Amino acid sequence: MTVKDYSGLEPAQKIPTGVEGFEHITMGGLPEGRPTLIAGSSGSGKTILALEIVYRSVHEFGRPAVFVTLEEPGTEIVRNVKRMGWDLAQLIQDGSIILVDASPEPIPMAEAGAYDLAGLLAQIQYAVGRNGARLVVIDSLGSLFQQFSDQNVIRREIFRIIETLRGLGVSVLLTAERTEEYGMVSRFGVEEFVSDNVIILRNVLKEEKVRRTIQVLKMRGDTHFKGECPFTITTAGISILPLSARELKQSSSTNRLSTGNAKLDEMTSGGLFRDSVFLLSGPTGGGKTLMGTTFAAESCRRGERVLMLAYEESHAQLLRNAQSWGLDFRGWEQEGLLKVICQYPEAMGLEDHLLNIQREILTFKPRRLIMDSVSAMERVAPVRYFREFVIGLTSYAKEQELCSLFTSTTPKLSGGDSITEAHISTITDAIILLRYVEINGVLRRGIAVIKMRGSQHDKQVHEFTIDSEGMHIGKPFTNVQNIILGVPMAFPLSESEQFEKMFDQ
Amino acid sequence: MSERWELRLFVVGGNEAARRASANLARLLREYPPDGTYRIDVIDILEHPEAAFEYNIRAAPTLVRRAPTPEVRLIGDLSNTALVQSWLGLPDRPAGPEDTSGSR
Repeated sequence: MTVKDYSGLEPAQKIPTGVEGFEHITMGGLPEGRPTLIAGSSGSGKTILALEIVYRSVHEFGRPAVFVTLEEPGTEIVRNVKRMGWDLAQLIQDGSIILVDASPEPIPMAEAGAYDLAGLLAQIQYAVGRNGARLVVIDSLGSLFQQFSDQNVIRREIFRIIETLRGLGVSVLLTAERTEEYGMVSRFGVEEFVSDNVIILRNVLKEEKVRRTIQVLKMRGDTHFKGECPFTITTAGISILPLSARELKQSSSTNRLSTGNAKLDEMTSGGLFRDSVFLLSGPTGGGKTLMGTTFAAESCRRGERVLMLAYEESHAQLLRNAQSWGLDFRGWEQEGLLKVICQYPEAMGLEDHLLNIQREILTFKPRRLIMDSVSAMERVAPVRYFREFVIGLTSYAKEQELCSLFTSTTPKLSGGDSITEAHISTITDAIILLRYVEINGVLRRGIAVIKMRGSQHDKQVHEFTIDSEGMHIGKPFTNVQNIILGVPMAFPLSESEQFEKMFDQ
Repeated sequence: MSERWELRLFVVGGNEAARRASANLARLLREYPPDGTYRIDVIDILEHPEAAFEYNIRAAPTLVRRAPTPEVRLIGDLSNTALVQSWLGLPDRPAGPEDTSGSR
């Protein structure tokens, strides 16, 4: 008996696409020499993704490609991507992209007997032969079923076209329409021809927010990320934000940065780790913005850039507040040490916020990041997306080795749980609480470090005051319980004893 | 009115559908000759894929009536005689026996 020799077989190769985040979720790119199906509902971004892959294939990697359009006329295809700055016309002119415009023409046509799609196949083969393309995009398969009435013939012919291209060793990207976001992979069941590799694009409306996601449904014989990842389409093209793909690592740096408050540095055993994220939680008016401002000022004094994202206050207001504490934010802005971005959380979706923040970080290259407040973002998206947003932002900040301060506003004056804290407290490296404490009818302020990864920290609740100089952290409260829970209770001592023992001497 | 007819038949050279389409077209033009002269070009898309590309030929066989205008296209082996006849605008009645010479 002879045994077939499989020893020379190489694992399937992948070709990079250059689309932001695509290589990450597919772990390398498109499977080389094999077909991949992109299925999505109308308006989910199939054509744009396919076009971006073609454009980048030629423009970034110098690999010629063929784009077969079965639905939109070629002129529309070229025009649509102009706003991204992709000059397809030029690439078509020099032959590095061949556009096979097989979109329906306004010429009367009738079916008068048996036919096949040998013409389309001949056009595609001709184009591939002309520019030596290694990548062919066919957009979209469903259109064939609408243009020709014999569904069986179309199915057979799609199969024949795909197999012919597979035989040529060309990577094929096919798009297909879906009728619902969570149902059959595609209309007309074309996925059965390209069962190897399937990518799904979704455009989901949830709680009045549009959210685009991409999911690698399968990639035969290869690893890839399984979940849905959000993506956005901007004038720079598609950006996939592989949130679930990122691994959260603990802060690895032993370098510490001062918080700007000597006493808080002491409470945290020397300040914050350089690539850590800390959450500052407190009620409104509780001193969060002051601490953020102090943190920013410390950075500027050291000549290190700091990016401040403000979602609750205007630019003028922030500058005024800083001024009142004797901090010259305007001067630091002019020196290029400080950048303050004020924006309404509602201005865009969370994916776009995340993308914008990432771009700001890339261009401004700050050492510290302040987000005041991260809880303002809660109200613009469902909790799950909010959590993904925070994970995405946190992991990005860590990658860039930023020391980040996120503030979170608690819903009640006395403290208590907030959505933000419930969902992101496990993600952050350190948590600092600011709380109002009512003792014998007097409202006082308390601060506590309740968590700090990889470091010792002060575990007592300290009293602090705020004046025109800033924040002053004093001695720990004693004889008071449950401050953190928001229901401070004095020990049952006599009133005079209480006053005597309220503070450590 | 006498016109010059221009017909192009795009086929995969030598296959069964191509033979049937050519035979059906020849028979139709013999039985229902158009008013005027006509010319038929049969184009093998495997030999001339650039022609398929230029004319955006997707199905095969495809019959293109270039003239008289407007352009009309028919796909398939042209076995549906009545449909081909009406789409091309051929006469309703078969020609008499003296009129079966084809190109005039």
